[in-house]
Amino acid sequence: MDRKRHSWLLPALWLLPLTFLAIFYFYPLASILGFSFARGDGSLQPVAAVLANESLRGVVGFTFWQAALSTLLTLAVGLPAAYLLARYRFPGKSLLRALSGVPFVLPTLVVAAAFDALLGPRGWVNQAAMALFGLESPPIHFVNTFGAILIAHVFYNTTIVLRLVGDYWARLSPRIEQAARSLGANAWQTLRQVTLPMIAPALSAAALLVFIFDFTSFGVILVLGGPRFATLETEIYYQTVALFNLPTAAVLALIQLLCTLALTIIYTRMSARLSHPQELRTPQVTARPITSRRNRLLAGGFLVLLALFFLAPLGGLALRSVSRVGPERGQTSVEPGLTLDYYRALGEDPRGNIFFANPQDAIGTSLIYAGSTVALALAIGLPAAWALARNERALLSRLLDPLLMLPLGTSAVTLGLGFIVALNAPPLDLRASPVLVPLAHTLVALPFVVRSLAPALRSIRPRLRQAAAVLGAAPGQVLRHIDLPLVGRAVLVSAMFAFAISIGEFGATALIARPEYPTIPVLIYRLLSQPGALTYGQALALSTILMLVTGGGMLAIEKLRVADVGEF
Amino acid sequence: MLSVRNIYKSFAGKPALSGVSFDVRRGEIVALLGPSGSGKSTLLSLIAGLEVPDRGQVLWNKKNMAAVPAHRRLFGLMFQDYALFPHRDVFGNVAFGLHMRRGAKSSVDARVNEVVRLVGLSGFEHRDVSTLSGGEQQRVALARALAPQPRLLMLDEPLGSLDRALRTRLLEDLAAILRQAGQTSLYVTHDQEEAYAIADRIVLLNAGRVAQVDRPEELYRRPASGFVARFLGLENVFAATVVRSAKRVWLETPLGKLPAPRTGLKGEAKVLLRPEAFQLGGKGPLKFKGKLLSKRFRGKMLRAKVLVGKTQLVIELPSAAELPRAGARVQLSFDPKKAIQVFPREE
Repeated sequence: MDRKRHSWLLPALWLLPLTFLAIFYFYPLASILGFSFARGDGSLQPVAAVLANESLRGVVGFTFWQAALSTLLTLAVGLPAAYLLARYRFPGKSLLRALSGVPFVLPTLVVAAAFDALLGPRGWVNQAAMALFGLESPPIHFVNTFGAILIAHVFYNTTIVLRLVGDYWARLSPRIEQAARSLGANAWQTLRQVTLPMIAPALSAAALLVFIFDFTSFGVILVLGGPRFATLETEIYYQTVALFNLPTAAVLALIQLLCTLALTIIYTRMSARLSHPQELRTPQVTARPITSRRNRLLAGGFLVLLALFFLAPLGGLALRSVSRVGPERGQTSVEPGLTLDYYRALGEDPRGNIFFANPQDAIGTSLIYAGSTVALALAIGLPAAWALARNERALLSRLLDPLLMLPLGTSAVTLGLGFIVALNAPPLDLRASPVLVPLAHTLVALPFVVRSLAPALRSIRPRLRQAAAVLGAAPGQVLRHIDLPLVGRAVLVSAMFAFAISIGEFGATALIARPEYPTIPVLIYRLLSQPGALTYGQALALSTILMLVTGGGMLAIEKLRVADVGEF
Repeated sequence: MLSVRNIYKSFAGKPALSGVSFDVRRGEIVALLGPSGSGKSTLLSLIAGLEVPDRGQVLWNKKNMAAVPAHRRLFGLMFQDYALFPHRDVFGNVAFGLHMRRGAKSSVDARVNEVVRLVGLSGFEHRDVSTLSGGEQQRVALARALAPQPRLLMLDEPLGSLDRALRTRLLEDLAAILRQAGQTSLYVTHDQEEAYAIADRIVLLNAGRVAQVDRPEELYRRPASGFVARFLGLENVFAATVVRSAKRVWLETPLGKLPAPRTGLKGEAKVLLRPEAFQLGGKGPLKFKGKLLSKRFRGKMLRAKVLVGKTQLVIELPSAAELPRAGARVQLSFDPKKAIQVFPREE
């Protein structure tokens, strides 16, 4: 289409995303930062104080270090898996994809509980080792180590690499690599010179998302890392909730924000140079069976290990939720064995708590919030992604692209407080409104939606749109019949991301959700914070339900083959 | 009827088209011929409505199309790279234009069947387009463009990426299909053989300007400029001076004085010595002695290069002609009435 004739299009596409960000991101953020600084003496003294504080500088350094290491490890695990998923057919492929997505949607508390159930002092592995070798104390120390943080991050984020890189890779024509081989490039040269540059847009998008996730990770550091490890995000939480030192928290939130902004700007610069329109193929055409015995063994071994890595903590969690392990209060001993007591107890409210919420209702609330988040995030993310894809060199797009990523790098605690401070007066008195939660979730989900849609939209050859137009398709029809079907998979992936983020989000939700309408993670947290083996078991039971619901949903998306969409 | 009127278009300050005008009459096949970079594809995009001209008009039956967007022009465009929709099978691709024009299902099916048969792809309806060969993809692209019965069909180098044998066969098929359908067409190519084979008339473009519009045989017989002659493979184009005295007109050329054909030109000009007008030996009215540089067998004819003085001449002889070894001295003669054409000096 002609640029002159459609000069209104780009600003029009940006209108909705920008308005949304202005009202529900910048306004609350400015409010909380302003509020925090006002509680000091209004000078820049808190900034100087933070910068002068050696331990806080150490926090910044550690935040970067653990995020970089976690990202590298995630790529090391995710890239070979993405390659296998993209290029080969093997049994259990969609199951593995679905499985890898489950951790991503689990609240950090659940993941911590899952690793604890597997590798903790009373976890399955240590118990087995103690029983087997007659040891007095658990041989494996996992909880509260740096390794636990790294492994949990890999466990969480591998799916980002699998989905962003794997899906893109699956649709690149293997002919190009074959051409390189025929020109005399060996496997390594082909990888370096041809494959990596081709998957670079998806790879850098995935690496950036993983890094930002690790950079702003909260629950994993808090629960699995323990008090020895502090990142910016946990320090903001600590300064806010424990010390009520809002000026320092605000400075830290600002530092975190600026780091994310810088990362995002670097990334957008890079991706503008890296992305070429490529002819995308159907995965059915590009995937082939694994040949040669050696490769089959190698790939099979890797995939089995990967599946075990995802399955073991999740299985440990599920098993723990149906096992009697410790004695309940008032009991002296307990018969170890299988039980459904924890599930049965979910509907009961022995203490008559006024904030008691029925788990069924919490599941319903979570699903409604997640559905609204998907709708909102797609409604706002699609125009933004489309604008980015159409003309990423336009000044408007170059300026606005990094803005879309900012919510990811913003502390959920800060954001939650910002909502409470800013959106409590007319005309935006949303404190009591149930829309507050999906709005916050949409903010967090938006970067994912845009990041998974834009590369797919960008790689549609403009020729296809022209061909459709010449055949009589109006711009709306081009969108419906060409763009949407061709990015259908990416739309599904981004919808899945939005759904998963909404279902699992805890930090901001804990602050803004109405007490009588808790989401599943909020309820799990409540159960975990009450003492007793029964409530612990209930928490694990509810976590297992959440895991099954999201895992089932993920599998359904994998299997979903809508006529137009399913063809590629 | 399509009329292109005085079209100008530049990209980033570089003119791509400068004052292009021509017509395509109803039922006619016009070839848009020119070297790469001459603006052919740009012109197609402008006519299709995918780009907007800086100046000038595209008219259909005297109606200005400027305000009509691409999808309402009812012009078909077959892309050089086919641009088949990867998410639709053969049927889905061919039916696309009919669906866009809201055809009823039964009539869509019937029309798709008809054009699929026309291009010889019956039985391929539910094949995935990425599994087709180049020639099959080309046929799908043609069927897709033909299906909605566009009032004008534009084809952008449709045989560009195919092998020679396939090209020759598909070119004949294509010409037959277009003629049979009475399809008004604009056929873009850089290959003059293709243009000769398919077109009623040829619009020859050079650097964004129309160099000549003519029927194929007229174009070949009477090229309008040195550029046209060279582009058509008539390589003996030299700088010359038209000299007029009281009684006679003659040409000063690198080969010496030559008789001038009828011309209104005077002073500096270009001269073409048609390669096929030369003969070996000394029978013609004008004779040259030269050295045979190379010879190449071209099927119907022999093409040879001869150095006369410091000038290299290309000559075409019947393939039965016996040429000596390269390096040998040869004598050439030719008939000036058939062989010499004069053009204005090009700026």
